[in-house]
Amino acid sequence: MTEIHNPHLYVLMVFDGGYLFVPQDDVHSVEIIADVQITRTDMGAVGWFFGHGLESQVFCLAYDLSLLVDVPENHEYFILLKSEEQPLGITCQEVENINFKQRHLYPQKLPKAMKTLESPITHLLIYQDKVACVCSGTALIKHLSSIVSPFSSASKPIKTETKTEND
Amino acid sequence: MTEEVAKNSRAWLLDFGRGLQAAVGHHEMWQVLISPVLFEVPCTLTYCSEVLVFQDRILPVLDMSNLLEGEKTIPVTSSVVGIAIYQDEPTHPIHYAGLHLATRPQSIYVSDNQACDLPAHQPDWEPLALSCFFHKGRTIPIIELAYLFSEEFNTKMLQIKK
Repeated sequence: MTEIHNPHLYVLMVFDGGYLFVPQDDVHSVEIIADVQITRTDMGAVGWFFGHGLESQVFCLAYDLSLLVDVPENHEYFILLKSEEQPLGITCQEVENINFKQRHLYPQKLPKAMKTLESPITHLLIYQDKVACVCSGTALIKHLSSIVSPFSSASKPIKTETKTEND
Repeated sequence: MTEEVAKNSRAWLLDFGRGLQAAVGHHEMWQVLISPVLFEVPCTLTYCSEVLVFQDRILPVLDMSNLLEGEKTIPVTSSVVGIAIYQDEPTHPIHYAGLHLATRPQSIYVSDNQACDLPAHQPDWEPLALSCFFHKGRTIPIIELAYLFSEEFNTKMLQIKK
């Protein structure tokens, strides 16, 4: 069966009261934190998720996208981001599917003056009287890879799923 | 005898706190917002880490004192933000951006005979200043807003941070 690609579909993650949107195409599934086996890993993950026949590390981020080593009590969900090797989980307080077109939401490019080489954020968006960030799953995994590596010299870089125009 | 002042052009004198002052053209300051709601954007440079929503646009808000002195000097609780406008090129669309200010901008007149060089002790202004003028015993740089908010300046700052 062919997957239907809708560029307007995003997954909203809420953490620390901040909003982060990731394209739905980049998300494997949404799960509940109760299904995570909480065990800190060398790479800074808060635990493992064994589901869909895969082993996935689950990470916890603060709104400034820095790594948290403990899961805040209000993080009840996590999303599994698609990646080349194994999906990768990121916890959040709330999660919701949002259709930008239906909700009349228009992402605006991150201002040039705010860009940094390590930032996964490409766009900003006005959502519910706040400014939300938008980033791709690939960029988020790359960002995670850059911040988790100091945790262990033995840690492997996380491979991101690369897309070609033919995909 | 009263000194005759040639009132050639109007400008806005901007106070960034810590004695940092600069000017922009009178047409380059669109509005002043008192205590606007600011949003922090993760993974940005410290001098430009906030945005505000202005007429359905998300605008960056730049902190000059942080850029030039590396410290945040303006209290967040009673912030004044000037909405500046600029164009990359004369034929290009107008862009809006915010500047943190310590006080409301002051409207002043500037004449050609006030023009002066940027003092050697203010080298940080050099890349940002179009020119300078002497005003009330101080040298005031005129900021090139298009450059300040450009990709080129951002890239330069990222290289310095490395």
